[in-house]
Amino acid sequence: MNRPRNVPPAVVGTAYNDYLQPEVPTEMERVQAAVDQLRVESKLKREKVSTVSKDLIKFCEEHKKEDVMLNGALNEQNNPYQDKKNCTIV
Amino acid sequence: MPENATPHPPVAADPARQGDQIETLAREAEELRKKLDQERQKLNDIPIQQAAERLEPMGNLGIKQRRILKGHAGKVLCMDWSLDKRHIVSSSQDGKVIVWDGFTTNKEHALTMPTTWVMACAYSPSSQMIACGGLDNKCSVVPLSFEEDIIQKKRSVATHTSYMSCCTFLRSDNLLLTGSGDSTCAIWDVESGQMIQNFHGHTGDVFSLDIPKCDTGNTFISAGADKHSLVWDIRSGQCVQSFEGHEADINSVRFHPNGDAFATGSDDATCRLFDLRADRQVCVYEKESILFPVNGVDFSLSGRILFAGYGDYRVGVWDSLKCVRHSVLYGHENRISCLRTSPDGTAICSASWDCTIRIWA
Repeated sequence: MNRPRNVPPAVVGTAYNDYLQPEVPTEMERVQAAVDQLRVESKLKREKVSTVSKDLIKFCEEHKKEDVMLNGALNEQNNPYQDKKNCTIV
Repeated sequence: MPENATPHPPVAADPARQGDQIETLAREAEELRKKLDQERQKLNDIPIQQAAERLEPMGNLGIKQRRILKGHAGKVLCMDWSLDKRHIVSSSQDGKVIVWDGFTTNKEHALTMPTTWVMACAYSPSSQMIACGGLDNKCSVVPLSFEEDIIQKKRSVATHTSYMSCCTFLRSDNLLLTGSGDSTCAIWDVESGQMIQNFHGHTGDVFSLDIPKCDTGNTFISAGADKHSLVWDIRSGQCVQSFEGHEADINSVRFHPNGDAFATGSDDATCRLFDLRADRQVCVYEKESILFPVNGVDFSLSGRILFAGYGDYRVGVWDSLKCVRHSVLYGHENRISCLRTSPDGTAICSASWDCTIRIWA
């Protein structure tokens, strides 16, 4: 991550910091929150990897014509970032 | 919090009983975790590369460096495309924010922020505003006009209790989504500067977030130093899914154009593909010869190509379905810090510690 080694204290905005500082949860609250989170996640309906893979492949195939980066050289004229052609075919 | 306020209900009189309760809950958490792992493992039937075996391999893409944007005097930390597919905003470690015309490579605006390390910048959907911030713990907006000194119009919208690491506008110019080193994300009203929703759940610094490209749902994803990617319900502020797999900080997270999958890039030198419906990791993009962190990932328009910007100065071009590296783009002379596909998918843009931004197509 792009972050400096030692983050110096904020130059501005410190006045807000005391006000915004989140409350430190107690051990009890922390464990309770973890259990609540896991309960939510355990109720989730899941698909097989083979099913979602098939859908990912289908999506890529259906959109490959519009994918300029994928069609590369075939699509030079559609690309505003192409180099200006200096040579002509004789 | 004032000293005389009572933030929590009085602690139960019997500390031993509370200890028991914590233990019971911890045991339940352990069991739930085990059950979840089993469930997710059960659905891991056929790997995606096997399902993609019969697909044609990707051909010669002919991707080259087309533009180089020079003007930053410090490491470029972040960039974002305007929806006009032409303009780019970038921010750097020396406190500069520059708005570029990507076609002509001209600088249209240059701002000097009051603090160094402008770690995040974003273009608004109307292209009439930018947002930026970093070590000042804030996200500020600046309207873009040629009439006056626009820095005078800079207004701070969001304030975190640690550095602001990532930001993006949400649907309109009036909502900002930010992520921070204080391990939270938040949505802010640009006009009033009010926090509308905050998102607690990460146990480390948040480094990256993304919203689905066709943003019809009410979710976004975030990831960071706790190695987890979390999916959030925007309305309730609740974390609805959590994805693990990475062995180090996640630096970048981007939705697949289908909106159901997302890719991550990490300090563990891998990119990974996760799927919301499978609720698990689907693929790892790694090679023994790649040892450097991934700092930026993005997909091509169809999702077939996964681009990854590495700490070894190179852009890796991956076949997202066959899970193999297709090619490598050389050009940068220092680590890549950020990488994004243009809104119409005609180009990718990479920002680097070599003080340049490069457009590849």
